[in-house]
Amino acid sequence: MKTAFTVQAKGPDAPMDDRFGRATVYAIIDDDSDDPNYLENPSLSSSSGAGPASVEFLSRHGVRKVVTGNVGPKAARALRAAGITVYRAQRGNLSENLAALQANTLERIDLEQPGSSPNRGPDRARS
Amino acid sequence: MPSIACASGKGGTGKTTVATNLARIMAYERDTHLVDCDVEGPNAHHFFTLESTQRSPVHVPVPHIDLSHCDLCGVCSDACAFHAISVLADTALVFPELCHGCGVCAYICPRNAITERPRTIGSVLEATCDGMAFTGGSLNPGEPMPPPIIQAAKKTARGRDYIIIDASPGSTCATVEAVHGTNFCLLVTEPTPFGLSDLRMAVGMCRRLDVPYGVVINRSDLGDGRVEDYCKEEAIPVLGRFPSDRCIADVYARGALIVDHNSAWEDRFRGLLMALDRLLKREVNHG
Ligand code: SF4
Ligand code: SF4
Repeated sequence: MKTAFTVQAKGPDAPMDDRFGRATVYAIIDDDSDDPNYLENPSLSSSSGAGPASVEFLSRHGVRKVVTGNVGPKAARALRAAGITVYRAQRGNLSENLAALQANTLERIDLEQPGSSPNRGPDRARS
Repeated sequence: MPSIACASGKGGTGKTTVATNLARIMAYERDTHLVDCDVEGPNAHHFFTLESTQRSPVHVPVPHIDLSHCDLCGVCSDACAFHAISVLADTALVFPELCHGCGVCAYICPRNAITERPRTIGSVLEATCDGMAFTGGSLNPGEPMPPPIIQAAKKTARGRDYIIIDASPGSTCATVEAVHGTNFCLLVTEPTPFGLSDLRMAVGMCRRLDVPYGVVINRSDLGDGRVEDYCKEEAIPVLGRFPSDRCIADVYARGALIVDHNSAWEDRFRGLLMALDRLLKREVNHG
């Protein structure tokens, strides 16, 4: 099963990226390998709809689990429909979060009520 | 039938005060229609007693995907510039709040699985008050697209002798939609550095839209002379200079109109109307 981690750069030491739809890089790791496949986020520069577009992108790459910081309401709806499970990233880098996922210590994000950290309001693109 | 937009580079400059009081003065002797196009924060209706009100919904088309015909090919999602459709492994989703209603997806779907359905994004309220016609557009909270409401609101005033449009503050696409196609734009500003930089943007907008414009300087006795200097350099007509006055805020807070309560202000707005008439006449002769 493939898991996508939102990270700020490529490499095992890369810090995690809190933003799901606007993460710089998705590190995709298969359960039976330790070698991540790094994909740049194709919707990084789009003015709206980055969340759902990223879900679609990851879903096409066969991703079933995501480790990230915050998920907006539109991304949450798409993640639910895609049947993707989401875990909240811990502080630290990619390899630390991979270890935490394997040790089963990451908290699951409730996609019915995704919420987000208090310092980050939902993106609201003005037309 | 001249239509006059009231705009301002930013909120809080007194744009709505100018639009509503000017409309009242105008309506004394002319067939006047006030249209509130500040659809994300409409408030012009607070200053009038509205009669025979009628509210109608405004719809935009959104795609509906019939999953029994859809083979999840993803063509629609690739074609949508706004990421409003997600095609996933075993379903396809529409995000109505991202959709701009362009119709491309329905047109392009190879399996004809997409039909368009109306979705309500807001409403327009039509009413009369003391012989003046009034329309107020309002966008439902969370909806991203003001233009369809603004178009619907402006349409209700077609054919009136005089139309006054209260536009959204700023120089956003909503402001552009409101000012577009009007015969004159009154830019309400304040003589402060922020006022000046926002005024420059609003002037740029009027020039791009090819709408003649002039300035009303509100609280003209506060701040500095740079707005005046700028208008002189650019040969922008200043149609009114309104001093700051506690009385304005008091009357505003009561939901009343200053021209109804204070003869000095009635004179100021009559002066503004005369200046406007002169400029409109000049535009007609030159245009
Ligand atoms: S283009 Fe039509 S058939 Fe293809 S995914 Fe979209 S709705 Fe389904
Ligand atoms: S109508 Fe246009 S904006 Fe809306 S989903 Fe279809 S392609 Fe996207």
